[in-house]
Amino acid sequence: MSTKRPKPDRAEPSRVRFADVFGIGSVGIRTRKLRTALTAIGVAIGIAALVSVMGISASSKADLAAQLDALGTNRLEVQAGSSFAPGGTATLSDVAIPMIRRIGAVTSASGITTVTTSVRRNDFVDATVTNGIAVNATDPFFLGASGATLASGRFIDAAAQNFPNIVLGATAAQRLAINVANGRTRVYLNGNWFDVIGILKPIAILPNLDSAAFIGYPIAAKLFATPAAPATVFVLTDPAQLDAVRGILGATANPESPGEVSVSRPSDVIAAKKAADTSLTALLLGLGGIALIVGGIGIANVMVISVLERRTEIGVRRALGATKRHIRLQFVVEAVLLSLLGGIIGVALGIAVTVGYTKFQHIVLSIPALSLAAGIGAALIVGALAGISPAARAARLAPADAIRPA
Amino acid sequence: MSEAAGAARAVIELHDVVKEYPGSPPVRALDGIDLRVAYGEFVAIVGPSGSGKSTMLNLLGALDRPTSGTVAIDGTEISDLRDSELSALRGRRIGFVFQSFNLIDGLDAIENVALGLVYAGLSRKIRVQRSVEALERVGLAHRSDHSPARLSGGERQRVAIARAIVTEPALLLADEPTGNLDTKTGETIIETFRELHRDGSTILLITHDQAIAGAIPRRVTMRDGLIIDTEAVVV
Ligand SMILES: Nc1ncnc2c1ncn2[C@@H]1O[C@H](COP(=O)(O)OP(=O)(O)OP(=O)(O)O)[C@@H](O)[C@H]1O
Ligand SMILES: [Mg+2]
Repeated sequence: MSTKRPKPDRAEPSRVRFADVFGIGSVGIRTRKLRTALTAIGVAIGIAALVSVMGISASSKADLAAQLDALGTNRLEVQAGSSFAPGGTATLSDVAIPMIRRIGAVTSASGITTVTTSVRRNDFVDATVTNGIAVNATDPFFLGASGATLASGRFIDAAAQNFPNIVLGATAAQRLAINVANGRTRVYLNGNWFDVIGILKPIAILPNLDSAAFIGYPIAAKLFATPAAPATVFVLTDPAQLDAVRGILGATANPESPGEVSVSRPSDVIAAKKAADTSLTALLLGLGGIALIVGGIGIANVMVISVLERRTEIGVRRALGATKRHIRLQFVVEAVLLSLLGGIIGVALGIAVTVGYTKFQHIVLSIPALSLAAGIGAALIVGALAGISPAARAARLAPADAIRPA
Repeated sequence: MSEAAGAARAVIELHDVVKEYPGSPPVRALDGIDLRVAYGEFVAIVGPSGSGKSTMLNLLGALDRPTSGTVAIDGTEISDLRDSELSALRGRRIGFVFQSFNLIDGLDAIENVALGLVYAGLSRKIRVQRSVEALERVGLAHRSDHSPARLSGGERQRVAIARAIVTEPALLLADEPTGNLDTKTGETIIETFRELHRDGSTILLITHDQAIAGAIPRRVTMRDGLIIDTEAVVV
């Protein structure tokens, strides 16, 4: 019988329903639960790192934006800048504040001038110990113009500015170990006792004022000969006219040399600073990526072992009609499911870490949907890549070899 | 020889089949074999260890291709077929029973039986229906949700037989199906094959057991890669 059949009676091709692909690919995972869990952990850690880094970074950004919005992005800071006059401390014009207040769009303006003195808890502390606290003379409009708020007590008002009363920034109060302004605490400024009448909350947009202390202009002039001309003026403007105001502040604050005046928007400075803080985020993302790659290698390893162990199963499936493609699909699906499991655990973990972090830091929670999609997507890709080579190996096994008892 | 009995259509036709395994030196496991098996036959393949029985069964099962010669199974010459077509031929026309059962641990009895139907693309409903029928035929319907680990050796082998017959293959191949079983259990397995044969299945079965071989209608004896005795077809 060597005559060639013109049209051989061929068997109907093997085929697998789409609905069965998942079942075929999950047998190995279901029967080796501990191994599955251990393997998935690697990917889970990587994905958790990625999701939490993105979540924390997004939360910090959202929180900063919320903070800046709350504090007002319509605040400007006018500084004397550098004076070219030899030996002179840079100050603005004596009448800078009243002039600025005259600008229609300006809601509020207030100045500060450095006072040459130090703050000590009492006269036993050496005068050279400044605690890093800068003393500033200021006026009763400071809170409104700068956006600072009180944590305790009251601010310097029209009456209080004439007497030895002092308000401490949050950090300054901490350094002096003063928690509350109850009218009974005094501090020592070079031979003069000042009553602590108020303590400020941290000022998010002007963090360097946290370590400052504030007294009234009149008392500063009387005790420390502080000039009336401000070194810095804080300006609150109509948000719509911010740029217009910005343009004329220099000439208003120092008509003689407007070029020396520097005008900045504190919220911009903070935002720029935070934006520059991305190196840590990048580092953490990199570490997460490495964890993910290591996790993927773990999956590839386990898949290679799985293929070796299941040689006979592969042979049986081939004998029962599975094509090479079906075997390849089975092991790729298995690797993807393994990785996907890790991805789901990782995303859950990443969300938990982000929620925990924002709770702990008391900041706004923001988890970008993109990071969740990216987490799952990365897991799928890692699984597929990890599965390709072991699956190809499984598919290459010759049925007769696979089935031969070892 | 069987060539003469050409009246019945053959399920198996081997012509001058040689199988050589590469290596140094190469092993010539089959050294030019002719064999013809008609539909409905029950054949025992016997011979000493290493004589080429499993090698021949692999070719009959389209698990492997010959080095030279022709192998036609259920009317299909396998050298014409692509790998995926060999898979289809195995899945649709051939049932396999192995010495070590080779059930898949993660699947329960009925899922093991249904495995071949998965690759035939049948729906779950039909798979369950036909698998239950197959398990009934081997007397194991009551064990359908047991995992292989919880079955005795004889029960495992009957699940494996159910898996082999569920696709209603033209040809049932068994390589020492009683090799891992005690004599008594082995006899019940052979009885199951006998019933399948009575119902019309074509069966080729390798065995070392003289008593079993003696009770099978036709014996093919092999030695050193050759068939040294094949009793005439009695149809
Ligand atoms: N994949 C292979 N590669 C190399 N040699 C092989 C391979 N398979 C079988 N052989 C050799 O071919 C010869 C026939 O082997 P086969 O397995 O067909 O014998 P058998 O009759 O089934 O023996 P047994 O009764 O022990 O199962 C033996 O010499 C064996 O070593
Ligand atoms: Mg053998």
